[in-house]
Order: sequence, then structure tokens, then C-alpha cells
Amino acid sequence: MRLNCTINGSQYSLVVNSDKPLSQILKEEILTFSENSQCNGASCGNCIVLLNGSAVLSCLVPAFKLNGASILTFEGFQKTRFCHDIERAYADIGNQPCPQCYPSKTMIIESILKKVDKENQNRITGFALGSQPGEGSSSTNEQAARTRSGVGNISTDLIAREMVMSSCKCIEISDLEKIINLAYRYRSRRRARRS
Amino acid sequence: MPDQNELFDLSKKHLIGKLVVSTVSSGKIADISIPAETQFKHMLVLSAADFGSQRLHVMDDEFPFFASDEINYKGQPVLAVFGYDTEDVDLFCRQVKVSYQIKQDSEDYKGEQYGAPFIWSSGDTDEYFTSKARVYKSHFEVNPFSNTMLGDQKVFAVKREDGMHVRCSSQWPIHVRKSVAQAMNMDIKDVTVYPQPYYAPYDQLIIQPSVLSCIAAMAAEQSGEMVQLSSIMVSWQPRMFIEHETALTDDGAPLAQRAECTVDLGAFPFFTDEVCHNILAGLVPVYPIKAADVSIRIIRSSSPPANFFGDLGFSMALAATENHFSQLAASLSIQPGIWRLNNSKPQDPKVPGIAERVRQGSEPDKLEKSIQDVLDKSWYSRKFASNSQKRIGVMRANHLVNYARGIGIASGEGVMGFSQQFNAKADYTLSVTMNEDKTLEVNTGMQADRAMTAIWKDTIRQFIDIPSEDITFLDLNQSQLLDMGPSTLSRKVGIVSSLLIQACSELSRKLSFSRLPVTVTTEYQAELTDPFYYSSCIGTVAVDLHIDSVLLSPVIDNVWVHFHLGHVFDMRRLMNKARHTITTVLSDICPRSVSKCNIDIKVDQDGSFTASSMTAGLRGLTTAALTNALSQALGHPIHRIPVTSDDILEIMGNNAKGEKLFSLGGDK
Amino acid sequence: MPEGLRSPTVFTPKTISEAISTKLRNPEARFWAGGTYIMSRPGFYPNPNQRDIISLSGIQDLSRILHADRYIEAGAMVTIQQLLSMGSFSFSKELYNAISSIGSAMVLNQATIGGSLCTSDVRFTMSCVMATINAQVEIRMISKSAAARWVPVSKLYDRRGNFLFAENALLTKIRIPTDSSTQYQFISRTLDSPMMNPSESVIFALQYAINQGSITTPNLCIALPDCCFYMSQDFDNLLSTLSFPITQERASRISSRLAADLRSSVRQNADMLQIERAARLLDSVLNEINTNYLAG
Repeated sequence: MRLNCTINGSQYSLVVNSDKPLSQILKEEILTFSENSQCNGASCGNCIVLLNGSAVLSCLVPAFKLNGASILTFEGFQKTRFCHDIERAYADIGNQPCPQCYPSKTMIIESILKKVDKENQNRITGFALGSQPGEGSSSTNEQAARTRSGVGNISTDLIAREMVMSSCKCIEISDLEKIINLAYRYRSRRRARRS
Repeated sequence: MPDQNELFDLSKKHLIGKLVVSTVSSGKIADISIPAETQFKHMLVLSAADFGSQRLHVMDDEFPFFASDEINYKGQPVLAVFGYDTEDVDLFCRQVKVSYQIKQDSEDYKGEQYGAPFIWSSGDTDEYFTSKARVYKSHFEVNPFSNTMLGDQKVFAVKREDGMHVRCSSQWPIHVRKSVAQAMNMDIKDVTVYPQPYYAPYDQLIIQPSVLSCIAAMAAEQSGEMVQLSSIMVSWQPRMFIEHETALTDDGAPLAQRAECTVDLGAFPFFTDEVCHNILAGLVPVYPIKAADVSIRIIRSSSPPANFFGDLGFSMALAATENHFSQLAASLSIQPGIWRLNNSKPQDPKVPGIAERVRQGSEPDKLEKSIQDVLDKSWYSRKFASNSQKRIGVMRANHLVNYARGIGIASGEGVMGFSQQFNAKADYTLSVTMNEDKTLEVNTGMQADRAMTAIWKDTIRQFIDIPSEDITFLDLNQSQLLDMGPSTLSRKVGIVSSLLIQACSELSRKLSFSRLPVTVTTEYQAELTDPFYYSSCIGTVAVDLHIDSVLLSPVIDNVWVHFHLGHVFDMRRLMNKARHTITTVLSDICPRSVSKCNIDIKVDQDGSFTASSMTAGLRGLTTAALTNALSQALGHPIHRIPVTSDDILEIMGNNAKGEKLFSLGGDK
Repeated sequence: MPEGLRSPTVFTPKTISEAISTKLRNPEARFWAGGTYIMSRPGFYPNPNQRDIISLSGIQDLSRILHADRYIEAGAMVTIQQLLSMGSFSFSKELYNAISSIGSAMVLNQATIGGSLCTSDVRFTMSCVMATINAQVEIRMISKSAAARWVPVSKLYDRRGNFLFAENALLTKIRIPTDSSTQYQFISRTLDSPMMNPSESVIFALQYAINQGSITTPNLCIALPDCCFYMSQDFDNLLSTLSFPITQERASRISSRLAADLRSSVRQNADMLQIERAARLLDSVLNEINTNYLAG
């Protein structure tokens, strides 16, 4: 089948088998693709990419689902300001994933930040739609206030659940929690400055 | 040198290769059936027959690229298949049928001794191991475990008029160059290697890249095309069985030590002398003793080759030794931490201890200080006493489990690099040249990553006033120096740093009276009579955990570390590496452990300009502290690693206190 | 494209009847929901004997979510993340957390409700949770009549965890009761990761009510991935004899009975560790209920 998609901002028109996994397509087409999966689809977590903005395991996405899709690998993501938030957090906390799982853990952190961002935006929207200023439950007010100030509500349990996808245990959950919360704060501040 | 990107342009047509490996651990190849050419076109298949001498030389040892007719281990390459399409190659490989003649007793085969046992002794242990002596014995078993985190690694090769060009990630790129030249019967000058960045904490890239490069080079020559060969890089921890015996005074202080170790290096042992030296360094305790006997046997078996795994056995030997002393202390009803503190210093500091014949450099004061620091910040004594008291009193932490908390401790010296005996036989040279244009050229046999190069540049600039951008390191393909060995065991930090310091110091002196260009060449001086290792690394690790009563897995709560080192070039990098080492060791040794722990690391430097590495020591001490903590939590000594949840279940089943075990019908 | 490797034909039906008739015309073709399970099987690609694909993602009926008074009805192609977004106001906090804990955000974005219920080795928490809260699924038979019927999730599997409707039916919808959150309590726990470590993980879900200190209408489900899907009326009856507060011994006796039942239910490859963990989990939950009861 012919597949038309965007990979790291560039348009591609490829002839591939309809069931070919995205990870294999990327390995063959994107020569610097950092995927070093050794599980052949058993979820080692090393092949994570952003597909239409959401983090997916590229070894579990077949070609026939990719027509018109926008794919961002770690190489592409690294050039974005979103990645800079995370890298800045690594530097400030003084710890970062090992070179082996740096791409996959960074992408997982990005997916956590997106998820929390979405949840917080929903809460703010719910507050704006559902009540007058000053009304609403105190927890909703607090939540909205925390969101505006850029403090994420990212718990260790959520992080542990997301990090199951990366089998490398090089960095402890407590440091990841600090990194993710700090990255979220940088991102929120930047968003607030821009708006 | 030609541009790499142009040479290895993957957008152009090229061959993609994969290995077909054996599915049995030993036997003879009876038949190989390959799919017909009509089904798969333009495939190239390589086997042992395609090479004149298909032997890879590693120091004085050698092993084959492919199994010719005898299978030596499971996973040994049998064929290499190349095609223009990944899918075609995958399908072809799946359809290759290899049939084997299995030896009848292959399942029971435990291996055979390889070479003579290594024996080392100091003093006369018979004097202390008398029939009336107080003796404590223990054993420790390390089961093999592997690390495949590196995933698929690719090697590229292309032959042009100017020679063979190979691109790969390797910890020993000079070995790649030599091996390809030998395998292809070419002059080494006609082989160019382009080393790529890598991260191989378990030394997965010492030998395998050389094997793959030779195969890829042969495919490149036969096909006339560029070739890409990929394979999963596996590194195995060798199986080890260690027995310790200590003769004690009436107060429980150690007098003499006997240690025996059997290590299975798999189908192709190499670096065996170094393995023995490295294990010896771990078996001789840091606590003062008067005599020691150590015996190490190497076994060759039908397991996959297991040599380097971050070190050559030192860390596991150290873990076994520290585990032994913790159990010894517990048997004397003394807290292991207090026992260590009481026995950290020799009675007469002027008399060199036995340990100094093996590892010289660290001072006993530092050991005492390190232990005290960790005991204080971990509240070790209070926690140890509380855990033991509650266990004895059969207090239940909850309805399911007796009080299951433990705190463990381990202390010792670390080593880095190869032994001085190895270094004495090798020729290590380094030269620095100040050119007429005031640029400095460094000629080493080592490949340095960016971080290491930055450190060396800083080192040079401490002696010579020169901008960083005017310092260059000669490419290994231009280097005329002899092989400095694989980049592992922190050798590059150790030897190159000391050679660089010597050379720069001499150059700085010569620059004051010599005309440019000026070249200084230094050689590493080591004597066979030197101690095996010089160590500037001494430390202590404590681990605090509890057993989750439902998961039956340990939950690591805290880890405290204190190390004394010589000179730290980059403290941040060291701290990151230390944290990574600790978290990976915890998950390697206890695969189902849950780690939400706090890690507290303190490093003191003594200012001397000696390089030091704490990775191997940290690995061994963390392992021992973890097993010690588990022993207290479970009320049962741990003699075998890795420790699985099934092991914990078995221990609880055997536990005299009678944990409620539903599946084993324990309702006591 | 590689020579000798056939690219499977991908059918994209727009309605359920079209999907069924495509399947009848191409009996070797397989239905494709999220695809996460199929693609994680060893040897999936490249495969010269790859089956043709009937992609269900184009069927709008399967992607709808209907929010009624007493239930949420979702199509089989609704992802778990979408279900959570819809159900965040209707599900109880415990049920919401139980479904979120199925996996990471990546899994929740890709895995579909239908796919996760149909995976034959019962890896996901979804089956266990849905069985406990008496969710029902609509099954359409692969036949000319395409007859549909509603089946409780608890009846989708046998004791060993085998999915009973493997090749001859299409799961189209799920109906999840939402009124139960006010009447019943719900507890769910997952030990270890069913995806990464199925041989040691345990999935536990229990729905119950407490009436004057007694457990009423308990519904317990325990899944040991790869070997067992346990629901037992007898055991539920045993739980309903409990009057809180209970003693430790009583809780332990019940857990021992569970361990014995599980031992007789599992496939041969079961790990004793899984059974031990399941029993300890029940013991721990009973004590938690006990504590909550005493605390009022």
C-alpha cells in the first residue's frame, strides 16, 4: 500500500506492507532513528514516538493506520521547546536517564506532561463553565489556582505506572517526580508568559 | 579520511544482514537446509567455510566467528544472511533449518576446568585454622543473568579502492581494526574504523562488534556493496560459587581467611588471568588479617561466553566477601556495622596488611570514617536493634507477616582498570606534540567520548597554557601506537590520565628551552612485583528495606553511600553514574524489588591527582548491603543472587517462625 | 515492498453488518481493533502467511458512547482513555482508578475496550473489573442472521481464562452500570504489571455492599494472567456469611479457601507465587474492610 504521512515535519510517500509496524518503517526511513528495541513488540518501551501528538509504542502501530498521520520521533522532538523544558529539569535536578533509555524516558515524560496538562485544562474549563468566580468547591478553586501557577498534580503512582513502559531502571521514581513537576512548572510559566 | 556520511549513505541500495544462531547449547550440526534461490533472490549466505581462518584473537585466546560443525553454546552464530530487504532476510532466516546431533549427556554437562587453578596466599593459614580454632564458614552463589538493554546494534562495512571501511560502536575499536585486517588478510593500514558513540555499562561492546565487523567486511568484499549487519548485544554475568572461611579470635576479630571461587566463563573463556586477579581483589577482605589463601578455578561450559559484565568478577567477589562478614557478625550477635567499625583498623598501622599486597592505596582511617559516616546518617544501630528485637518478639507488622524490615551494610575498597601484572606485560605509550603553530596534538590508543575529552583537555590546561580548541586527539586510524586494550573498567581514566599528566608535565618543562615542534612520549611503568591494584577508592553502603506483605517483594526505602576517592574530574557525572549504578544493581539483584527509595551519596576527595572509579566497588557493596538487609528482614541468610519473589516465598515457607502461607497450606 | 511477502488486504467496513458479511466472505481474515495484542505476538511481522485484516476503526457504531441514566454504553472500538474521559463524572472514584490503572497513557490511548476483553490470555484489568460490576457485552454471531445478544462479561471466559467466543462472534458494545456506585462499594487491586510480568501478576476486583455489618451481594473476580479467571458463586456465598468486625483467623481461613480454589482452577503453568499473592491480597482487603467498618 502507499502510505502518505509526515515524519519529523517532512512529508513522506512510501510503499510498504499494510501490516508493517511503524517502528520498522522508521528504522528504514529515518536513518538516525534512536529506537533500539530488542523485544520485537513485547513492550520494552524503547520505540516510543508521538503519533498525532499522543505517545504510542511504534512497534504496535501498523502501516494501514498511518495515512495522513503526523509522527514525531525523539530526534524531531529534541528540537522542540517542549523537550527543552524537560532537559532543563534534568539539569536542575542533577540527574537524567542513562543514554540507553534517554529517548524513551523523555518521551514518556512528555506523554505524562501532556496528560496532566489536558486534565488540568479540563478542570479549568469545568470551573469556567460550571460556576461563577468564587463559587464551586474549594478543591476546584485550588486546582485551578495550582494550574495557573504551574504546579502539576503529578503523583508518584502515576509516574510509576507510566514508567512501567521503560524496562531500564536507571533512575529512581523520586527523582523522576521532581523532574516532571519541575518541567511542568517551566512549561506553565512559558505558557503564561506567552498568553 | 573520506566523509562517513557519504561512505555509509543508507539511502542508497545496500545489503542488510542478520545472524542465524544455534538453538541448542551443545552438539554437532548435522545438516543445514537453506530456502531455494527461486524463493528468495539475491541473498548472500556466509558461514565458517567462507573464512580462511575464522578465528577472532583476544590477547592469547581465540574463538570462532561461526560454529563450524560443533556447537559450543546456545545462540552461537551459525550463518549470516544478507539481502536487500529486511523482510526477505527475516523470512529467509526463519526458513533456514539447522538440525543438530545432541550429545546424550549434554543436559548434565556442568563444564570442565579450564587451565590450572589460580592460587594466591599470604602467610600461613594452617597456623590459624587449627582444630580448636573458632571458624565461620559461608557460601555465596551468583546465578547467571543477562543484560540485553543495548538492543540491536548495527555494524556497517563497505569496500572501496582505498580499503575496507567499517563503522560500529565498540569499546575496543583498535581490536575491530586488527580483527578485520586479519580476517580479510589485509594490511591494517587498509582498514579504517569509524567508531560511534556508545553506552555499554555491562561491557556488551568489547568483543561482539569485532565479530560482526569481520562478518560484515567479508560480505562487503564478496558482494561489492555496502553492508549493514545487526544483532542484539548480550552480556552475561558469569556463574560464580564462592566459599569463605574465617578463623576468628575469641572477640570475633578475623585472624585468617580462606576463600575458594569457581567461575564459569562459558564456552570461550578469555582474559582468564585478569579474571583471577580481579576476583582475587574482591575476595581478600579489607579488614586486617594475618594470613590468607585464595583459590580460583575457571570452568568452561556450554553457556554463552561470560567474561566482562561491568568488571571481571570483582564486584560479585566483593559482594560475597561482605555478605560473609555480615553473616559472621550476625552469628556472633554483633551488629554487622559495629563489627566492621571495630575491625577496620590494623593493630599496627606501620605493618602493611595483607590487603595491601592486592589493593594498595587506601588508608584504614578512611575506612573507619566512611563506616562511621554511614552508620550515623542511617541511624543504623537503632534500626538494626529495633528490627531484630521486633522479630525475636514475633511481633507482627501486620496480620500477614512477622516484622519484615531489614537494614544492611557493606564496606570495602574499589579497584579500577586491569591489574598491574597485566599492565606490566603490555606497552602503553602516549605522546603529546606541541606543533609549530602552537596547537597541541595528543596521540593515544584510546577512543574518548566528548565528556572524557573535555576532562583530558582540562587536565592538559593545568600544565600548559593553551586554548581548548587548539588541543586535538589523533584519530585511532592514524594512530601508530600499540593497542591499549578495551575501554572498560575505567581504564581510560586510569592509565591515559596518568600518562597524560606525566607527558604534559614533561612537555611544560621542555617548552621553556626547546624549539617547536616538541614531542614527549611516556610509557606506563608497571612491575610484576607491584600490588595487583592501586586503589584510591574506599567506601560504605547501607540499604534499608521492608518486605511488602502482599507482593512478597522487597521495597527499598533508603540507600546511604559514602566514598573516599582520589581525584574526581566531574562530580556531577560521577553522582549520576553512582545513582544509575545503585538503581540498576537493586533491580538486577532483586528483579521485582520496588524502588521508591531515597539515595544519599557523599563523596570525599583527597585532592591527590590520582584517578579513581567507584562503579565496580559500588556495585559489589550495594549487592552485599542489599542481601544483608534481606537477611535481616526475612530472618534467614541469603546465599544466592538474584533473589526472586519465589525465593522469598520459599524462605518464608522454611522460616521457623511460621509465616502464614496459603498456597503451601501453612496455617500454623 | 519485499518480494515474496504478501501485503494483507485491509477491509474497511463502515457498518457492523458489512464487517460480518466481509468476515463470512473471507473466513480467514481477522478482525482488527486496536491491534496492540495482535502485534505484540512473536513472529507477527514479517509473516508470509499473514491473514487479511478487517479493520473496525471505520465503523461509527463501534466508536459511539451513549450515556444513559443507569449505564454507559460504549462501542467496542472506544479506547479505554475515551471511556475514562466520558466516565469521569459517572464512575465511582474507585472504578475510575481501577480502569486507569490498566496501563500507562500509551496503553490507554491505543487499547480498545473490545480488544482488551477479547485477548485470550486475560492480561488486562478490564475483564476483571467489568465482570465484577456486572457489565454486559453485546455479541453478534458471525452468521447470515448476525443475531445479537447480551452476555455478562463474567461469562466470556472459562475458569482457565480461555475466551469462549474466539472466532465465531464479534463483540460490538459494552454496557457498564453506573447506578451501582451509590449502592455498592468497589475495590480493585493490581499486583505487578500484567503486561510486563503476566506470570507473577494478580488482578483483583470486588464489588459488595455492607448491610448492618454483613456483606451482601458480593461479586469477586480474580484474574491470574495467562492461567486463570476466577469467579465463584460458592465463594461469593461464603463471603456473604461474613459479619464485621471479623477476627484475623476468620480472614485467614477464607483466604486459605481461596488459595485452595485457585489451585484447582489454574492451568498447569501457574506460579504458586501468584496464588499466594492472590490469597494475601484477599486477606489484606478483608482487613481493610474490617478497619473501615470499625472506623465507621
